[in-house]
Amino acid sequence: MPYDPNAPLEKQIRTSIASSLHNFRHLSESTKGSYIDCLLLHSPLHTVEETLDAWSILESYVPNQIRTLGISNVDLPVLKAIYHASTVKPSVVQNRFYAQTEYDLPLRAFCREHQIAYQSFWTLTGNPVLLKLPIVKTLAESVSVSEPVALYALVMDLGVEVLNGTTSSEHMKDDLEGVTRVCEWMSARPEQSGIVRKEFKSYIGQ
Amino acid sequence: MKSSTSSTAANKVSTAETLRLKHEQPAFIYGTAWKKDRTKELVKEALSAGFRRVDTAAQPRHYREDLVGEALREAYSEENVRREDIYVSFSQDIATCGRDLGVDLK
Repeated sequence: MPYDPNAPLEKQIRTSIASSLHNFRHLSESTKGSYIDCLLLHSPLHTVEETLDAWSILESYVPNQIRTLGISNVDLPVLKAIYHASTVKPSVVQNRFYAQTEYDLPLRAFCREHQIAYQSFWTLTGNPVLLKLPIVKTLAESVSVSEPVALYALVMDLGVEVLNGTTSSEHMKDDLEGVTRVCEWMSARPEQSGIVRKEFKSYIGQ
Repeated sequence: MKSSTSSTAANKVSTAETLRLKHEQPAFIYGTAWKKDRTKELVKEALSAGFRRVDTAAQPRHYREDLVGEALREAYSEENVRREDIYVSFSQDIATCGRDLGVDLK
């Protein structure tokens, strides 16, 4: 571990962040001028008070070494508590986007209202049902992309930024090019894409 | 560096806008969990393919943050990728205080 689990919270956080800043130095010889675009608290702590304490330690790095802060694995009440109590407001939420949380509908609406980026992980593995939706298949066939690419594009169309951890260079290129092709297809066909969008949104309750 | 923006779209916008589109669309973030020793090679491949955002975590059980850093430094020096074109995010896990969910969450 990059820190001693028995050390007090603040020391743990500072030791770990120092190690990350060293890892992300852009020059091999020094950390001078190095920065990280976003630091995410991996999850809320046991209590809202502890979470806010941790958050205020993270705030001390913004804006020089860390540009923005975010939080992962968070629900709406905790996100609201952080948003209202913090000086440096959350810029990013990174959650699993899936049926069990009803696709984070109210949380994503809160994010949109407050200019917080919503990022999803396990977008394909967490959504076997979405991958099999007829509308996903129809879109994939219309644009000649795979169903995973069609689903990525539909999720991004909701305003979601998508984590993609593929280890295949073929998928890296196909995913980037495929989503671009879906976007072009959709913008060239407002009527058809309106129907696709409506059907996908109605399935996830949006 | 390959552009993910079509030539038709690229013709309609200025160079600066093309770069912006190339970097911001599609809205993918390259995730680096469980890449182990292949982390550096895969992050460099992702950057070559056109990914411009990389996410990692200070969790040695699941991530090789050091290799993500090495991949980025090499890309800055070898591949004409500038630091300001890249978005790097990382998660900080507060192990002893965080909820003990028994599994990593991403």
